[in-house]
Amino acid sequence: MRFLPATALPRWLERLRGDGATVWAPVDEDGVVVLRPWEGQPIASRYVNPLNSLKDVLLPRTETILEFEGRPTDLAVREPAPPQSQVVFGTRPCDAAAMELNDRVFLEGTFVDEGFRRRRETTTVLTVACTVAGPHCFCRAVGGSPTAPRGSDLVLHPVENGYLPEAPTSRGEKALRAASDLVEDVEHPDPREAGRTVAMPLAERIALDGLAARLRDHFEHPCWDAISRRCHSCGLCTFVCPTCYCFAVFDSLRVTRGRRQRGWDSCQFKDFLLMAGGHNPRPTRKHRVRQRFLHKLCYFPEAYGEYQCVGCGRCVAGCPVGLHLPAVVDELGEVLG
Amino acid sequence: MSDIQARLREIARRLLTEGHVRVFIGFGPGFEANRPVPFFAADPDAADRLLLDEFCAAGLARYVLEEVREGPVGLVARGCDGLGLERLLADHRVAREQLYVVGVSCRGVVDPDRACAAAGEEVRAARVNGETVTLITPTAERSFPRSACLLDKCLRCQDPTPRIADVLLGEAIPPGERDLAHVDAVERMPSDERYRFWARQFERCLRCLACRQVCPACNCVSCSLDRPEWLERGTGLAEQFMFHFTRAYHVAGRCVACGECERACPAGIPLGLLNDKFMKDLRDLFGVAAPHRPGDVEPLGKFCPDDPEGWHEGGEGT
Ligand code: SF4
Ligand code: SF4
Ligand code: SF4
Ligand code: SF4
Ligand code: SF4
Repeated sequence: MRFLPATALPRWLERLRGDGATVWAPVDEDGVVVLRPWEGQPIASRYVNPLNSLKDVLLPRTETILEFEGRPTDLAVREPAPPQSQVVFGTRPCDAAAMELNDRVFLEGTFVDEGFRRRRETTTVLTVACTVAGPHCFCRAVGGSPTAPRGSDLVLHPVENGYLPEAPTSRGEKALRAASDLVEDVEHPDPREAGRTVAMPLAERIALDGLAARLRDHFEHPCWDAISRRCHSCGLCTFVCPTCYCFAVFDSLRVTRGRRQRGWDSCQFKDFLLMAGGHNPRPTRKHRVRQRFLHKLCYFPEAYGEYQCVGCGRCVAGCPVGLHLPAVVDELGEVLG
Repeated sequence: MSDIQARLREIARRLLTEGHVRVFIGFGPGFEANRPVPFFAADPDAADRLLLDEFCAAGLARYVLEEVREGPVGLVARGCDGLGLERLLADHRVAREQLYVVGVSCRGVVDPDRACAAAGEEVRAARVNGETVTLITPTAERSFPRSACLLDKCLRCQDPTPRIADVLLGEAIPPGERDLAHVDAVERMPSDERYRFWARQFERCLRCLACRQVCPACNCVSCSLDRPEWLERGTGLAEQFMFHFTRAYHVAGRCVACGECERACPAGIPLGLLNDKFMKDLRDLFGVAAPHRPGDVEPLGKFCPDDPEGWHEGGEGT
């Protein structure tokens, strides 16, 4: 088995950067761990999940779809430059898995989202497996594991003084080749096994079996009134979530020049579905909160056979009023049986 | 707290039984034992599920805005909730007779994550006694300083008791003077460094609007932050600055320092520091002793007919 000493990490990332890729890494910024373009700054070591997930890299907060210049009758339209290659270091297995869920939405079927595809194909995901779970983590309850390779190009299993790299894809293998002189050979049992024994108390409290069907049958259940009442209709839960992918398209104009952009939007915002003419199909908190949870726990499983949640725990840590996925699954379990 | 909790339930039950209020807002059990959540008791029996302990973190004032539409509302209010309610009243968003306020004095709310870090394991219960906080975990009971356990907003709070309670449970704690010294460090930074400091903070912003949605001062019917003619939707640094300046200026002189925005922010942006900078300027420029208490002199919240600069319809200058 291969072994990458921790001391070799900056050199390796520096080489990947030297190849022209933007390297992202978790850095501690005023006490908040954030994925940032890495330029040699210290890499955070003690974190569960960075504030921003892989979504921020693959489906950015805002991106330009096209640029235009001229007058309405005489308009030149340009496509933006294609995305540059990127390498993301230090993402967690849950976030990597989340990107496979997003792949299904953006890449499967007849319509392929070109923007997402191009980014996805030029991004290498270097995951660092988890040796401890945070108090808000529950990946195991939704089919994941702290050492799972799903969605990663390379999984770095932390061991004393370094990592054991495992490359599920050729992109990951290629990234590791840049470290071929830094890697040593060692004897070690299967590092994925370690994931089984990581304590994750929250995962044990979540029962999802058969929930999708029960939700389908109880669309009008009065519990949604009670569950949603404390929601403030912000976008926090959806923006921190690696699997929420909704976006809006908007233009910004400077006299004769402009950009068409797309950026994150949230089904929790009051005006998310507001139509020209004033009709809003989801006018109340009940409609919006129900939408969020039915999308994750009913519509997505019906369409793709799995829940749209990877248990990263960001909504658990973040929602200012404790209206997060495990809490709602628990409340639903009580009322729907 | 349990004696007060019992009295709270009793009052809420009576208000609901007699039909004085349509709903009583307080806290109820959350998914995690140390994270109670806002709870809306709509019938007398539900009043028995109200709880009040050292982990009740969320501000409740903002809920009143929607809940009063259907009829009078009762709620439990700590000092920060009381200030939030005063804000809504001063802004004429709700009427006093629509509210029944059960006041309680608050000694500070324990942040379960911070307490867990201090105690080294999950904290089940806590007691706040003056400068120390006793944390009770499955294996031990130990005391820690306030700063290691409480929410940031509580560490700076000077208004533990609400000023507008219809009934106050327990002793009133007198208000203090808000300490704005932490603003000095930022003011002393050279301007380049200060720019970099705020740019770094604002770059993290997800534009989730949690700070606005929880804020009792952000009670406008229609918000300029939603309007592309005022704020473009992008998240480049220019838009991030515009977003944060607009929010801060719009609550300047109206912010009640309840700390909810900073508590809600997932990105750890020091919104309280920004608000306190405005607070300090209001204090120093206008001589307002406590700019965060509505109803006192509000230099930016009121138009006086004898204003030396007059009123300019349509924004024309003199
Ligand atoms: S949810 Fe699982 S994979 Fe994600 S950070 Fe926690 S332990 Fe790691
Ligand atoms: S569930 Fe929580 S985070 Fe999500 S919109 Fe409601 S208040 Fe905001
Ligand atoms: S729903 Fe919550 S726990 Fe699940 S993936 Fe989204 S943020 Fe993470
Ligand atoms: S809560 Fe924080 S991250 Fe969200 S919009 Fe406000 S400042 Fe930005
Ligand atoms: S700006 Fe923040 S501290 Fe001030 S009233 Fe609003 S939520 Fe409270």
